[in-house]
Amino acid sequence: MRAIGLFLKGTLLMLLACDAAAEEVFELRIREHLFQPSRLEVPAGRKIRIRVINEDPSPEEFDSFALNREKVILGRSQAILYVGPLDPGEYPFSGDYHPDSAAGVLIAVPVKGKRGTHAD
Amino acid sequence: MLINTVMVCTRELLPILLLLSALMHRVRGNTPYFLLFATANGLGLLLAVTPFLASLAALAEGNGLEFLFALCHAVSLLSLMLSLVHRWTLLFSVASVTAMTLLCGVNLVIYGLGADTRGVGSEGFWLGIVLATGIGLSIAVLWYQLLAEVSRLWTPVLGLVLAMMAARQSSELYKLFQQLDWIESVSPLWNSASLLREQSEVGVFLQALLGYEASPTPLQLLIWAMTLAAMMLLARRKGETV
Repeated sequence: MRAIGLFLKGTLLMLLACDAAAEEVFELRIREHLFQPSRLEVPAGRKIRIRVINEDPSPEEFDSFALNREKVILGRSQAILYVGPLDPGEYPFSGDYHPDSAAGVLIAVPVKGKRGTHAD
Repeated sequence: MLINTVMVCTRELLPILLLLSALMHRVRGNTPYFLLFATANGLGLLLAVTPFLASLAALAEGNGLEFLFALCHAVSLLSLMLSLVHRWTLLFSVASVTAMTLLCGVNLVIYGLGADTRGVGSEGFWLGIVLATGIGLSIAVLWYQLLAEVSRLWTPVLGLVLAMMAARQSSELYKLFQQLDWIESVSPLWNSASLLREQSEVGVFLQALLGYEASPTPLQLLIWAMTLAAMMLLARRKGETV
């Protein structure tokens, strides 16, 4: 039973690793209730991963109606958001716990243009 | 701000209070036990889980809480279905509410952790909880009475309401699986935000009752409809009346 469990865990980890390797990772930081960068360029038409790092001691909720994503990130921790493939355009997001300050835009650009640059 | 705290807390408490109101009709005769066990179990689990929230959240690349929420929605959905096919209606009704209490409680605890940084402080947070509970309870009592009155004219209404609540659990599960990248992200079928925003008062109520989404995907709608149909069939098989 233990061997079967180890085998299943190993297979799952391998699958996750393969899947992870196929996606680009972009970083978004929350510092003093502000998203940095506030404008993040990502490639359109591809699945991407956004690593949201909350450097503040308090939790924040990454909320985006356009991206259909809502995720709480506890203080001094990080989380991965899976997004895409996105059509070219702008996708606003905000911090639901601090809506007056935490806000930003995800800009999906066609692949032939800029790739994954941080515009802030 | 206090008003933001009240709105967030109301949004979290409404689904569980509406579920309680509807299930109280089903467990008539056992209402005190239902309320006691559902509340005690839910709060007990919440107290047990709270010290480990940070560790739990850090699992699976920071998606540990999503796994917990998915488990809560799955238990609630399964319990609602089993309450229709099994004679232990009280037990499964308690299980459904317990799961939702844990889910909503975790969200409120996390929200409360950052109260000081939002300018409300812990006193403002607790005042917000009290106000939100008052608002939620008022709506729940009115909802309970409305269900009682409507069921006199049309008996399947309770079955329909619980079917919609079960369908909501399926819809929430779908959203969580999408967030975890277990389901492909696709374009939504429509966007009704211009007609009814999810954050509006009616939008929050409909989200709590039947999982209203302004921009649902085709698969999400299909899962919602299939769950609704399955629950209605099970209710009809049981001869669900109020």
